[in-house]
Amino acid sequence: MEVRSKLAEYRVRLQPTVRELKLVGTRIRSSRLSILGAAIIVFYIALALLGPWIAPAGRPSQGGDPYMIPKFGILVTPQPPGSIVHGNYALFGTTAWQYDIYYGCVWGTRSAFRVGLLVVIPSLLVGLVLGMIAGYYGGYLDELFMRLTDVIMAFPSLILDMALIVVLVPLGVQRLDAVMLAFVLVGWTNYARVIRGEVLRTKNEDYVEAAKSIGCSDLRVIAKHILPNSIYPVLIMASLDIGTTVLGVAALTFIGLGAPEGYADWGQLIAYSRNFIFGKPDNPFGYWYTFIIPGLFISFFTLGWNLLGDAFRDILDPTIRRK
Amino acid sequence: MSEKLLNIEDLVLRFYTYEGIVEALDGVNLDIRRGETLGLVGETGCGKTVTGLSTMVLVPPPGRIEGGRILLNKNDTVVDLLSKDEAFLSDVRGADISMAFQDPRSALDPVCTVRAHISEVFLRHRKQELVERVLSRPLSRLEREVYEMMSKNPDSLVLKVVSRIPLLNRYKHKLQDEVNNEVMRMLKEMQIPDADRVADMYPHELSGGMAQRVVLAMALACSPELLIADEPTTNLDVTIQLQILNLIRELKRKFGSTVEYITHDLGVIAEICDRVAVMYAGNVVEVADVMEAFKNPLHPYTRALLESIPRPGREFKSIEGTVPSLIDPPKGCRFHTRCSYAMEICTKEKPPLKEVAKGHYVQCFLY
Amino acid sequence: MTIPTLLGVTLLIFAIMQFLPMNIRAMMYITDIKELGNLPKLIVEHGLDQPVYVQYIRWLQGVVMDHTLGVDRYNQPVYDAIVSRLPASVELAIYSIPLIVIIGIVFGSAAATHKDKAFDHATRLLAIIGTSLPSFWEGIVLLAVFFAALGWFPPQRWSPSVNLYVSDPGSNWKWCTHLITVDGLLNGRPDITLDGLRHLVLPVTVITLLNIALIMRVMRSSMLESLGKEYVTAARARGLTEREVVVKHARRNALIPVITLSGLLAAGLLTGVVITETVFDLKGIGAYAAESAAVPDIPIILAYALLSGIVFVLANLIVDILYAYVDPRIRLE
Repeated sequence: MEVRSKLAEYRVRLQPTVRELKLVGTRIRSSRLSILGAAIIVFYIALALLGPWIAPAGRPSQGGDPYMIPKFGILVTPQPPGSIVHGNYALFGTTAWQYDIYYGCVWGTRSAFRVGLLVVIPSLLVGLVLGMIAGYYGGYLDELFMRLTDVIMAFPSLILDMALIVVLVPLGVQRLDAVMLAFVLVGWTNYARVIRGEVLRTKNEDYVEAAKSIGCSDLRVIAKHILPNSIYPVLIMASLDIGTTVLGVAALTFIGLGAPEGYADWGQLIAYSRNFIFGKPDNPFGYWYTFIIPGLFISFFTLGWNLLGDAFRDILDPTIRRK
Repeated sequence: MSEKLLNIEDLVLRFYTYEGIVEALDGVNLDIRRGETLGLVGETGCGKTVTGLSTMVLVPPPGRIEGGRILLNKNDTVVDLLSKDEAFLSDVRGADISMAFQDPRSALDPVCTVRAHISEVFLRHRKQELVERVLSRPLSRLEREVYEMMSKNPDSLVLKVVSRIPLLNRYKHKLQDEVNNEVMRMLKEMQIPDADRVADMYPHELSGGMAQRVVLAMALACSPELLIADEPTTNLDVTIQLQILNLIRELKRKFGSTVEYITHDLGVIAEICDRVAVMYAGNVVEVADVMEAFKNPLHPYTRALLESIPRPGREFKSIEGTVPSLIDPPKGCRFHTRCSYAMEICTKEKPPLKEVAKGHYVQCFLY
Repeated sequence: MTIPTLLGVTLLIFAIMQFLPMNIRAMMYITDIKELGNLPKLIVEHGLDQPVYVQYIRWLQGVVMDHTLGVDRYNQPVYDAIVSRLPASVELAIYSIPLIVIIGIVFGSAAATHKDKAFDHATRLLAIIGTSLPSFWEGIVLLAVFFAALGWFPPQRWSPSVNLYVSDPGSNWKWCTHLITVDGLLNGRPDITLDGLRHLVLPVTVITLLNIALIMRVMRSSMLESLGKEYVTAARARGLTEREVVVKHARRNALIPVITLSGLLAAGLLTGVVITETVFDLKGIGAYAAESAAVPDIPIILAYALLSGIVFVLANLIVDILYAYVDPRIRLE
């Protein structure tokens, strides 16, 4: 008896949330751009999950790490798509030093998700916690928080990342890990600031006062009342951030500061194409596949997340949401 | 009987929103006679503000005017404003009909000074006269040529180009002087003390009452035939309220304007209006002279409204129910859900606005 | 407000430096390869064994007074190395910033006044695409098309012939601003200016495409907010034409947040665009930092970060002042 009434009570309490979610759902479906974004992401997720089957690892040149791109040969000159190099079929061709572009692109998807999620989720969590503390407790904790984030955010993020990486690597951190750590160390500030703002805004609303007057502990107040309302802008930031992070890592790899040699990363593939972008004397686009194909992979990946994030931004726009 | 300045016939206005179609105005009939002060009274949300906006055809999307006529008596011809194009309407707005808004400080552009605001109105509607005035003063030959061109050929390309070149457009000073004279004159009419200093202030530096005077200055700058005042004193302190009311009365006399006074405050209506129109849920339900309306209210809503005014010693009475949502309004007479005299027919048909006594109109099946 | 942040910036860089092992820090001050064998002497000489706060003071003093930022891998003082490469980055920024700001404002404003129509959606999509493409990839593709295939816009700052001319001490060339496009005219050689401009087209395009999205989006939402304000309706009620209302009232107010954003953007661009400079082989400080990162040449990177931080903090200050100038509501404070 008790359980049933509890369930019924729970369902009643969830009603408004359900209704709002339904509204969000219909709005997502009605925006063509967001559907496109979602479709693109789904495609990439599928690619990442199917990776080991559609691009099997296990070649000697990989040295036991499936994230290293297999080398089909030792020549410098890239081979066009469809060619057979030393008995290996290269669907998208090979880049300089005979790295298989197909493999690199497929496993690059996996490493993109890996990097994206491993950077964004910790940044988000750290930012969430610190931002909430600063916003909720205020006082000199907040002051300290603001000074610290002011200083970190005073630097262009890529440059501060570079400075951190250059110091972390001699300390013994692996290159790619150093990159991710640096991104997190710099990136949490954005989330923290946004959360702090939202907390400050909702902190003063009446229902929080009411909850506190009944005697709810601070944590409960934060978790149940402030958090649900503050979460939306952060979600928007996060989905845009995944794309930005992957772009950033690719850019750093391109200048030699990111993924190590031979690693399956889209930026790495493009880096290998650097000497061949001008093609052959008689055919300027002779080696187009070395940079066009990986470039398209990375562009669409970011595009998908940007479309999604942008669509979220419109849908979850507070002026429309809070009628 | 003085002539009609404005006649709104069967105005229908709908807002197309995410949640549905809001039937904001359901066939509104209203007429304003020249020289009078007409009060438009009703609860919040009854449609009085949008009626005011509609008069100037200024309803923003997602609102759409979908029926009726707005007849303005302009220069002894009657024109239907709804049939006119934007160019015509923008000439009418500010010069023939103007509006004073509810919150004066938010009706002013934060980056423009008071002087800039009032000058703008003059330059928009009275430029020709001002140019003539400049021409009547001593000018250098070059300046005279420029102003002659402004007078005869205001849209010429040469003028447009020259007016933007920093050193060459110094000729504008003469025109600005003329405009300034007008601006100062208006500020003094509004009984604003220390007008010189106020003219260079920004909206956020003004007090509520001062800001409202500036708004009135802009509205009356070109001596419009009709001034629509949308709750001009609602956001002000009571003491300032009285000042502004008196000012409006004084200005009406001086400028000879007709005033449409929109408010929810019956006390103000009693104080300042000649006639009153009562609105409910997008309809005009009663129109009468102020004295008549207070002494002998005919429509059940008007009666309930007057009875609900708190008076010491009397029991506190309120009207049962709440204002209906206009997305799915009640069929027939929209007041029938709260009316103590509701009859069968009230739920099916909408009553017409009938003249029951001289000058006294009611929209109710009781009559 | 700015001073603590400035100090904080220096503190952060110093803190990052402290994580390096002592030897590496000492190596930053080596001017001669022979000194490699005598690190302990360097450590004492530069006070690297002193307590942290003493080190900080000494380091800060060195930076501010003598511009001592260490020595790079070519044994050139970092300060000189950076200063000599600054003009290339600045020139790039000077052409990109106005383009970004003007196009961003115009398109953002138009997108707002034509909300939800084809133009609005088209510009939004274009902006999203602009931020989704990796800048280095854009650069590569543009080079492949416009240089390799068409031969119109070459990479690097200038043609080899121009390079010979300007670096020849015997020629009449005088560097004034160190900006090739400006000095070309000042030296009476418009052909050199044209050559410089030709080389600038592609990198400026890449930078513009990348940054336009932000300005457009902010302008659009700022404009929409402005158009919904009551003073806009009031302006229409005064009989102003739609054009007048948009230009004189809505847009002016909408520009306020955009101006501050543009200021920060400009600062960011002035400190060099690492990726684009690398792709187009423009010898600016960004490219230099990129090269240094790969080695890694630590003094350069740290000095570059320090410079960027300082520039940003100063830019913030300028932007705040600008804001007060533009928005009368802020002035009183």
